[in-house]
Amino acid sequence: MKILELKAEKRTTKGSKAVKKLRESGQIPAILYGHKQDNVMLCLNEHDFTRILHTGTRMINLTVDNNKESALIKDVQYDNLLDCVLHVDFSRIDLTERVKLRVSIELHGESIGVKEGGVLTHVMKDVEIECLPTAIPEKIKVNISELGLGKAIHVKELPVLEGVLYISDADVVVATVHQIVEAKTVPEEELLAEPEVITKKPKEGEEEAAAESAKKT
Amino acid sequence: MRLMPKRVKFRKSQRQKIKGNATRGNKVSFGEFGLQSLEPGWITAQQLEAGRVSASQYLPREGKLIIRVFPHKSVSSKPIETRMGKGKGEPEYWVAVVKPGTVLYELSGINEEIARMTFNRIAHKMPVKVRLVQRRKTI
Repeated sequence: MKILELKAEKRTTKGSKAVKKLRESGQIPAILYGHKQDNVMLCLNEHDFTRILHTGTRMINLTVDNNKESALIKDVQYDNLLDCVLHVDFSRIDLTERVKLRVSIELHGESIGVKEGGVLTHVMKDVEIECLPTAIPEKIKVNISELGLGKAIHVKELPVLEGVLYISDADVVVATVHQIVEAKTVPEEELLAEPEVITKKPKEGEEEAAAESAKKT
Repeated sequence: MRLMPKRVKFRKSQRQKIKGNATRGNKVSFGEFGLQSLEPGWITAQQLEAGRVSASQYLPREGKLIIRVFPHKSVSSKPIETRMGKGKGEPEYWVAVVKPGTVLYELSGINEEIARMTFNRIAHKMPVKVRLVQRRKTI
């Protein structure tokens, strides 16, 4: 994975109003933390950051006031309606220290099971790994061409990458090929049935009948 | 699918206003593509079902449709030619309350072209403006 350069400036303003103004001026608020050092509030150029984000890289060299620091993009907050980045979290890292992060899993090839009439389901879309910052894979490619009908690929069967350790549970299913399950047909009576009301008070006659039945028991 | 709750605390609900944008259920979580609402509104159980049927007629075998909203709210109405008053009407139908940003349907196991065509068919059944959104990359 490439290590890209990103320039950032320190910011002193905080709070929703100040940050809103910052976003309107084409910048993104961010924070840099970790390694038992003080948190540093930053602002980034929106265009530069989105360009880096599209490359898929996770490790960057952050230049803050002429100081270079290696950082990992830890979290990105989005506005899901306007499709823009709201805030970015950077974590300081040491290049000799192992880091934990999630990497996406990509399936390729056409499985035998699908050719036989099965349906492929990609259950686990990303996996948690531990590796050195310099060995972070962009994605994990899994070949499914030998996946038969009724078979599954588990985390323990993912390709072995040098220096990468899978942390997610080894028995979790990543992808499976199975027969199509027909949706259960609900009887029409059940479809038209009124929902049960929890707070409904029993009527006078019903109340007495309920009390009598309770006495008998 | 039974598109109404099995148990409710009260049969009738107040209308309420739909304020703000969706802060939950606003991203693609299960599939690769999603149909996102751009307006606030009520989607009836019937409209949701119509969307599902229109999608199932077009989707290939390997495609999977996930409905992300559920009609939890009952809407009551008075019978026609009835004088006003004498209490609230009886529940007529059930609706899902939708805010801008809510993901209504998701699709998995298909490519973008088919997803776009499927969502186009669903969009015709929806009472709100919608758009196609894709799953974000893992960070």
